[in-house]
Amino acid sequence: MANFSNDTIQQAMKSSGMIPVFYHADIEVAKAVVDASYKGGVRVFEFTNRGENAFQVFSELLKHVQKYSDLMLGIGTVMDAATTQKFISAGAHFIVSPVLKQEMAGICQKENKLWIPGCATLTEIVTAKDLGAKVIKIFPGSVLGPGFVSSIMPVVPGLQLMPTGGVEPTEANLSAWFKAGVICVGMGSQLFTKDIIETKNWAKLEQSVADALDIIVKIRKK
Amino acid sequence: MARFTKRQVVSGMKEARIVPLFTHDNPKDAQEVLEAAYEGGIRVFEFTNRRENSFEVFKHLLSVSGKYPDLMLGIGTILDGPTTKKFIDAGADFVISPIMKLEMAKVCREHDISWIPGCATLTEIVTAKDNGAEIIKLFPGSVLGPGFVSSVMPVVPGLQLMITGGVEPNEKSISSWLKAGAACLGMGSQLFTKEILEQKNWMLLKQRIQEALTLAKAAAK
Repeated sequence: MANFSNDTIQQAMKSSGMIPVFYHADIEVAKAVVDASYKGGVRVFEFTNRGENAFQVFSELLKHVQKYSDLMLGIGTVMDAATTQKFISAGAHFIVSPVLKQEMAGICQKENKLWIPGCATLTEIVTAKDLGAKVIKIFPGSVLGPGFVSSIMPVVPGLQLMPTGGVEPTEANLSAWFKAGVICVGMGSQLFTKDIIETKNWAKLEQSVADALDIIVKIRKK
Repeated sequence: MARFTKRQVVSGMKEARIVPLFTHDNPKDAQEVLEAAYEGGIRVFEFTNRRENSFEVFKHLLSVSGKYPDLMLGIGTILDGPTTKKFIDAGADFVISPIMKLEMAKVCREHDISWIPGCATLTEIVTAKDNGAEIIKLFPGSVLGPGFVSSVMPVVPGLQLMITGGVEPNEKSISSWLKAGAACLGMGSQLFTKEILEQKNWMLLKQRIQEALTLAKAAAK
């Protein structure tokens, strides 16, 4: 199994700028989405633990992505220590959560895995940082907005933030987030539209992913 | 040693309505800003701990404040207990933080100094209140908005909220926050503009402050 250091994952998050966030109960759909995302340029992918068989699908996906030596596959929507342990044992490269839960920090530290907790206030963010979080998810991004990030960055320098929820694959939206100072964005339903998934239009998905990544490259050059 | 009691700081902030927040790594410039602010009518001033030499500059300002017996000078952007203690020992009249950290509450309580933690949800606010915060900073104000203040005020009566982040020195912004029920407003980059600082235009700064104070006074009526 491919192994990535936490630094490598953090670096890949920064350099790619966008982490897809996706769940599907059908392993074939999940594989096709990961493949299309990879072809579109994605190197860090978050599968989310949002269905009964998420663990089985994720375990299968981990086997499937072994053919990519540079794809990092983590698990998201994890809420407690037991589930964190289960997914790490299965081989998850990193753990993302919508909440800040200290017991998850302990497991990730023990297992030396990147813990990316979800925070919504600066108090939560600094608590997460003090508990060892190197990258912090801002959730829900649509509620807090880029203004939240630009307000807090000068107060606590060096924060590595990833907003998720409501991030749109448009130049206006992405540019607002990156200008505010985020290191990368998480993108789910805005990228994996119902239409694309239902029609299994993987070519279009690959294109959407590539377009979003292009926009980010362009924004960063400015 | 702080020159004011906790009670004096709480009533001083409410009376002041506007608390400027400012940082600078040059002691002379910082002193001139403090003097201009005082002349403009400021009686409560927050210096922020955002530079490597902020502690030295703050100590210099404390020595300058000796000539103003009615000026309360506190420190902001404090994130932990040891730094809280260091600034209290130096003589800070109050300690402001962008976050709600209980170890800071404990240090402030031991020294009988006002702890003004930064909160962004009602749960954080009430936790701060239960841990002794009499004035609570709402941060970032621009994200939460005056609607947040008017929503929480009837739920927890007696809250004393200080708004920081996105308060603008114009009538609309000042009056919307004060009418929503804010006890006082923190104002930083909107007041100490890059232009004013670069040109060292202390006359203009003084004038801006006077205008903001006049607006706040009118809005609080």
